[in-house]
Amino acid sequence: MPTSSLATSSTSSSFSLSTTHTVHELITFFSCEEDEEEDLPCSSSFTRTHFDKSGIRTSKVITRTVAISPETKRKMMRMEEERRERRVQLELEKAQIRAAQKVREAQEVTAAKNLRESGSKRSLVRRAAKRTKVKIASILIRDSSRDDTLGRSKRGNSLEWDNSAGCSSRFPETFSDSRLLEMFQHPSGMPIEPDVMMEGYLYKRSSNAFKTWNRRWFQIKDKQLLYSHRSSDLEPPTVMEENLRICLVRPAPSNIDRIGCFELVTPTRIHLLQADSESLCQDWMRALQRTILALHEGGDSTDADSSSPRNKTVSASSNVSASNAISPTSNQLDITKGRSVSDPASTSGSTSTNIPFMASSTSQPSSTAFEQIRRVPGNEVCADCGSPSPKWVSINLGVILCIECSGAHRSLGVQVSKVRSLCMDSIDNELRDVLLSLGNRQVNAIFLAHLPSSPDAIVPPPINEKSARPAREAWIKAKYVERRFAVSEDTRARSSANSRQEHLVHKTSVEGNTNGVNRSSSYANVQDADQHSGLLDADPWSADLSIPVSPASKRLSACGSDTNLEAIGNSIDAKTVDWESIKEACESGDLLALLRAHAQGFDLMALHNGTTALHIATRSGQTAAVEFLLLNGAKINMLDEKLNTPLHLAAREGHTLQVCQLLKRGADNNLANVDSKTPLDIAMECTHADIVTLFRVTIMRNEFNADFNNPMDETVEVVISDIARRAATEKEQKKTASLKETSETSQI
Amino acid sequence: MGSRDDEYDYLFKVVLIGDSGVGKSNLLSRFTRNEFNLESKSTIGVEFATRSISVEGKTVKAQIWDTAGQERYRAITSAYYRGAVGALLVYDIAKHVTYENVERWLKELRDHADQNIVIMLVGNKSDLRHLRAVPTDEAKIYAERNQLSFIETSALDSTNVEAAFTNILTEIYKSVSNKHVGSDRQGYGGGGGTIIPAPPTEPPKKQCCNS
Repeated sequence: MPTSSLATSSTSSSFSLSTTHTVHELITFFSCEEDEEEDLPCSSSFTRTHFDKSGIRTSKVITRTVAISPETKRKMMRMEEERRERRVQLELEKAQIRAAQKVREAQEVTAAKNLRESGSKRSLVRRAAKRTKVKIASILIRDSSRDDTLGRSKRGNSLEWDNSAGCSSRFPETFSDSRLLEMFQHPSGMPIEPDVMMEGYLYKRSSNAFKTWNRRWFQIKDKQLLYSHRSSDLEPPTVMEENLRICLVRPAPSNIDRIGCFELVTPTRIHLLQADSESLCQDWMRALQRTILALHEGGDSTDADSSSPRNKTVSASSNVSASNAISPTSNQLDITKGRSVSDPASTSGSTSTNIPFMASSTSQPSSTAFEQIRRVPGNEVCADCGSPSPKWVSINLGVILCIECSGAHRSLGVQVSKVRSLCMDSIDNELRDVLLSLGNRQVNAIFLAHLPSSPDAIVPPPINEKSARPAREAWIKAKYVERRFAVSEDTRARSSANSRQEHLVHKTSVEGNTNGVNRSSSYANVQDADQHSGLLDADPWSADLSIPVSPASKRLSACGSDTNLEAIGNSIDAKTVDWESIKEACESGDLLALLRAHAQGFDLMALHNGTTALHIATRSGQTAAVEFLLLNGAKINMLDEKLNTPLHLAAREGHTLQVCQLLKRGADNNLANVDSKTPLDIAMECTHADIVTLFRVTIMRNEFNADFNNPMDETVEVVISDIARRAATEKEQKKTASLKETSETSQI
Repeated sequence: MGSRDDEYDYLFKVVLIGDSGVGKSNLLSRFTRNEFNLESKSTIGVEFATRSISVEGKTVKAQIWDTAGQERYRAITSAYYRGAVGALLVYDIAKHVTYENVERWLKELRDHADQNIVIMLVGNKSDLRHLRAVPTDEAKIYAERNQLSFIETSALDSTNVEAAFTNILTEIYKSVSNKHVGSDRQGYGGGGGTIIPAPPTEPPKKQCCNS
């Protein structure tokens, strides 16, 4: 197109600061795909369109607020200055654009004679879009009024603007600290994607030997960089980078002889990308940089915006609840099993960052795991001390923690609590599912189920956000290691009599079972032995009250201590009693029941009736339950009585997702069961093509294992994620289909 | 195979495609293990084998992916072609329909594989002279028109199997080494899946953490 050179030269204007009172100037750029040729340089052209506010309102304004910490403020100021310079440029460019627009209009008119002068610019745009299958993206990044000189008048505008979008109520009061990124979707028929920061065509250089340059539609979405083929409607976009936070953007090295190139450097590799022009390249780099910056603030992003208003208003209330650890408990006890996604608005001042995710919160996995997890009831404050905006998580206990408490958790060792960062560590789908089914409120309901009612009776005293380290450690140890409040003294006392009798009945079966237990759970024994001693220190009664049904005694039993034969007897007794419910919990994926049993000392890792909880969960296709068990000490290659590993069962049942999950976690696919069959043999017999493929790819990778930089790692990853994604979709479809069926039958 | 197999200058991913029953798996086993099985079963999912050959003094390791021709036993598509630099598109010279479907397979390659992928059309089962349904010339012309290399093989009697793989690997080698002249840094982007043109001084092998 003749206009393209003109237009691309002014691309930079797509990042403009523009809000005037009544008219928003929106610089739109088109990426037109004219034909099937991959390498044809596409023509970009600019159109300036005037939208009035009502127009904007209907065209879906998506607003994203990212708060900026003081440190980055300076950086932002610099950028701001740059931008001001550019505004001057912009004025010049606008003139150019107008000229370009005229040319373009003239072309349009001649090309489509029916289109009269009377046709507004917008309809022109729309027509053009339809005709050439134009994907239009426009980005307007508006820097809100951090800069004092620009500030005052603009702030008013911004608020108005936001009001019109219906989001104003969620903006933090400290508006001057926020940066708004706005994205407009245009009448091209593209689906509205609220989380997309920037999108458009880029060339990516493929990683294979040919280094082919492919033109793809890229999107910066959440913390990911995605790209898709032209036929993107059919295939889900490929994730180029899962987590931009750990990436770096820089201009391409000078030996690349193409213009408009930049690099996205990740810990494992470097992506080389090319924009259609130098200025577009600048825009992309800037957008990526901003995203990365925002993600770094990230943890802060959510914190910063929640903390600033909270300091004034909410902190008072959170102090109250934190200083009194009973209140969370009492609130939490009435929580029912069904986890409801909490309304972000209700989570004590959590602010605008949630807005883009609201729509997709329940069904779409598009919102980040972090955001989803934060919305689980109770997760807005630290599970232990109640301080706001916790950013750490104990992945096996399913509680969200502040940094101080996470330190105390770490000190307990990974066999008790595995601490990760919600912001910096990657949370895969399996782990996300675990964390979504647990959460502070419900887990506290388990671990603090029997907190004495009078605060004075609680030893050690509950902690709050100001507690010193020793107090935190004491509380956290009592809560999770000794599990002092997970078990009620009363229940113990009351049940002791009955249980003693029951215990006698079951005692006969002790010996055989004990062998089984010891065989498979030696690892758990070691752990529990510690806990046992801890328990005895802390709880002088437990030794005397040997109460089989009560969790305390189960814990004793699980320790497998040789000296306490009676305790072992009790424990086995308790296990046979509870085993059915554990089995049910594994089959139905009821993590809370599993955690409760675990908290009460039940040995989840032991062999029962020739199988283990992990085997049952795997066989039942309960991804989250499998993950939970693995996180809490289940051995991934555990054997059942037929020497099947969980992988054998997953292969037999055709549970592709479980196979992916187990392989990801390093399951050995080379073990033969009692029929001397490996999981691969079983998958072949059952002709599960996906599973066979998964095993074969893994085997192939292992052939390369001597390499420190295994060339197959990425391939295997891609294959696993490919297959897992498809399996997940199929499972979802089946689920909805069966739901439909049941609802139909129930109607009949 | 053996330890020599671990050292290579180039690693090329080559995929075998074509209808069910044309002999892909037997071509693979003939080339990599010198085995042939008259009663082989349908491939389920994906199979792999590797073999290193020498091309112009360089060791080229071919990692050959073999997938089920039968739709219901196929697992991955885009990942199958991902990073592939060569494709052997196999048909059965005694079954005309498998030749007719070449078009369909080419389309699949166009959809999923790199545009520079080296494709070789392979008429397999050339030992079945009396049952021939696809004339050699016809296939040759078709291949030329579509810019494919062409060869007829027999996995059963070993005819041309070696040649087929050697030819395609040489062609890939040439294509790749040309690309690299003056293009940009070598080894850029690291283990991008398949092809690591190892820097001549330190093959990837040697960088192991043993040291």
